[in-house]
Amino acid sequence: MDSQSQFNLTTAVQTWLSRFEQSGSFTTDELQELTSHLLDSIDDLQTKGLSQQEAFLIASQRLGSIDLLDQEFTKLSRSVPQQREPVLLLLGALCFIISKNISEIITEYGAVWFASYWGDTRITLLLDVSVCLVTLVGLQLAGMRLVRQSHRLGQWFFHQLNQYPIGLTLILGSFVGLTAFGAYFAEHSFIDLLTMTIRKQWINQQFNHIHHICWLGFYLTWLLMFLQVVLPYATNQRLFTWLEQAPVGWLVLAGLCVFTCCLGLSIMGMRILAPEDGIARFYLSAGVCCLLSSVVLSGSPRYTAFKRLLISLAPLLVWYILALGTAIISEERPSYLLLDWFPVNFFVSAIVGALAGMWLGVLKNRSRAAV
Amino acid sequence: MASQENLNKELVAAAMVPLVLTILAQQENYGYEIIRQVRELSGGKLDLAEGTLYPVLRKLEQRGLVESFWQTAQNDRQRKYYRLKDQGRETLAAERTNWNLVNQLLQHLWTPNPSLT
Repeated sequence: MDSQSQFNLTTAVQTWLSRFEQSGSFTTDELQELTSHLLDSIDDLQTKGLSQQEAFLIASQRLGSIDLLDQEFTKLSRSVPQQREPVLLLLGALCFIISKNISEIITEYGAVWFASYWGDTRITLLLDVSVCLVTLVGLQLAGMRLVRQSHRLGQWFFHQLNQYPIGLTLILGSFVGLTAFGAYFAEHSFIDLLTMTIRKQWINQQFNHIHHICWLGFYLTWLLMFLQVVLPYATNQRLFTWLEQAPVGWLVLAGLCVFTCCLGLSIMGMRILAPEDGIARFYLSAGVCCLLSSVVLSGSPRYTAFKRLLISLAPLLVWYILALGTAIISEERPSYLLLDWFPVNFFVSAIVGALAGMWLGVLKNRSRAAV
Repeated sequence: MASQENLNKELVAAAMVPLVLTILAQQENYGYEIIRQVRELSGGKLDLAEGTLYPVLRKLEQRGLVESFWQTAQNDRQRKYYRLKDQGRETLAAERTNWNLVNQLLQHLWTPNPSLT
């Protein structure tokens, strides 16, 4: 009797429901329907003589696991009502400007503030880099988690969108104005810092570079969020599900994009960490890019391990041929792309990256299977 | 051989649409009751995750075959009822012809040939 009195049906149903809410694939209407189904099922089982706890367990199991239902509901095409689309587009643009302004305020005031305390040291640089990273990660998490229909903020947002679209637009618009002021002042004090740095002849004149990375990261974050939102509309699948099933051509193109991003990031990173050695960034990017692609591809049922390895490496080959072609045409002296074992190092680090990625992928799949 | 007794998943998925349409043709109904009837009629052999019924219903609604409305049950519980529309009836008739065709075909092939001896 003890275990029965400890079991609280309302709490259990709430916990069950909250997991569905978190997945974000269900509308409020559907959640209500599923809950009603679960309660009906529990009632039925209880009349057959089961305890409340047993009835709950069996009923929730009969309804199906969250992964399965999430998968099935995601397949549904959720069309936004026609008149809402332009409003959503406008709101998206406003959100973009707001987040840009906010991250500008945080990172630039942050840089100025750190410089005023720690002066021209590596600590300042490291703190600045970490603030940039935290801002970006926060933006991504906030974007993907908070503005979901199930979260309170998301619920508020969609409620306003349905009820008072003009009011919501005005609120966001005035927020854009406010943050623009902040961003304006932040930029001014940051530029003051930069000119001061140049006058004082500091050793680490790297704030500008860090902010290049920050902005690159910012646009990448938005691109990722954009893809995560647009792909389900366009293909009815999520980003990673789509990647797992996409044809080879698209995969190579996606790999090329990833490699370019890695290269861009590593160029900025190497300027700060090791300005004198520029070539290593290519090896680093090749390794990281292959690692990422093969981790993503590891869930793909369509290709064998060898094909996945080839698909991860193909974008680099395409890039190398393109780069070599343009280098030979435009440069008179022999390009570094041909010197000093460059191709060997480049592709070896790529293969090492890809193999490490495959290994991580195996681990990922194993833990997924264990769950 | 428990797996032999349950129908395979693809077949269940394919049969869901005509099953749901047929049950709704009898009277308007809600999700739990629909699935309960399916389970009962099949004697428990049609084993499926009950929640997967709802995406099917949603698709039928999007195709304009059924319509839905909320209603309060006797125990104050909100239930979403589904009702078959005219277009749904037409689709059901077409489905019925198709399934009958497949059934006849299989029956014909599976009937033992008359032996010559």
